[in-house]
Amino acid sequence: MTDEARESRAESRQAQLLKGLGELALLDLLRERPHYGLEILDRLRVEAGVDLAEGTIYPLLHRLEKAGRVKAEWRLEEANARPRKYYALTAEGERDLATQLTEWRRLSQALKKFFDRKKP
Amino acid sequence: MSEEPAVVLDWLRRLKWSLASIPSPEREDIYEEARSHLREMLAKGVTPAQAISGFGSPENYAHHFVEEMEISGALASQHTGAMASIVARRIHRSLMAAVAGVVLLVLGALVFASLAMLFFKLGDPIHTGLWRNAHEFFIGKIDSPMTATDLLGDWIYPLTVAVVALSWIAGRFVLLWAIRRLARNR
Repeated sequence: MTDEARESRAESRQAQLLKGLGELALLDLLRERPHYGLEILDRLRVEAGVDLAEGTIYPLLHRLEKAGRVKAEWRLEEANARPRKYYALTAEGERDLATQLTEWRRLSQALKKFFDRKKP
Repeated sequence: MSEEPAVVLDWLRRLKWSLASIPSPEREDIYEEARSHLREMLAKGVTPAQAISGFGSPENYAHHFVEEMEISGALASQHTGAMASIVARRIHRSLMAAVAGVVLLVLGALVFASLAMLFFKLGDPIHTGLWRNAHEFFIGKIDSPMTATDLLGDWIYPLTVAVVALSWIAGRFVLLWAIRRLARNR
């Protein structure tokens, strides 16, 4: 296998992992307060190490909005003349986040135990 | 004069064109959000090429939204034609769509065979039926009806109606299942 193909497979694996984790991290971020797209990308990248691309985050936000888990509104802030679309968590989104977090903690603990097991 | 450099304007123009199948308020919303994001990136000092690279090609970026709209629209309307069209266009790249396609094909063949039998029965009621004798058991036309017993008789008419109705219900169930799975797995 060439280095390029190996790199491409690694990126694909990472993209699959990030798909689910990105949604979880995004919902958790929105629990704090409403955020706009670029702010979400920056915070997920810096604070969570989840490096999502613009081409992933906006369709995801759109899907979550359609599903009623987040709500969006355009705001024109005084300090910045550019309008921004802010996303906030809905009550349904909060319930979904709680379920996903419980599942994630259970799974990560089980996986940690599995990876740390004594190997022959 | 526009604030965006030519490469960004071209990307936005192609995005707008690619979003054409989405209804206007939603299309404008998606477009304006991408534009607002790109403007902020450029204001931060990012090069135009870097700013648009995260979105990928405008056609591919728009495809996410178009697909989302198609699937959510089909789920909301539950229109058989819309659901069948979505499944058919994904057969080559989705296992669920492929499974649903095979089941629908089998149901379609069953309906076709039932209607064909009904057609033959109407045209030639004496020779058409579900026949059984000492050597054979088959559904179709027989040369000599005296040599076998027609197990269905006129029951073939309500049976055909039942097969068509049940196939239709089963087909819609399979389509709904496939669309819901496709929506969940995006």
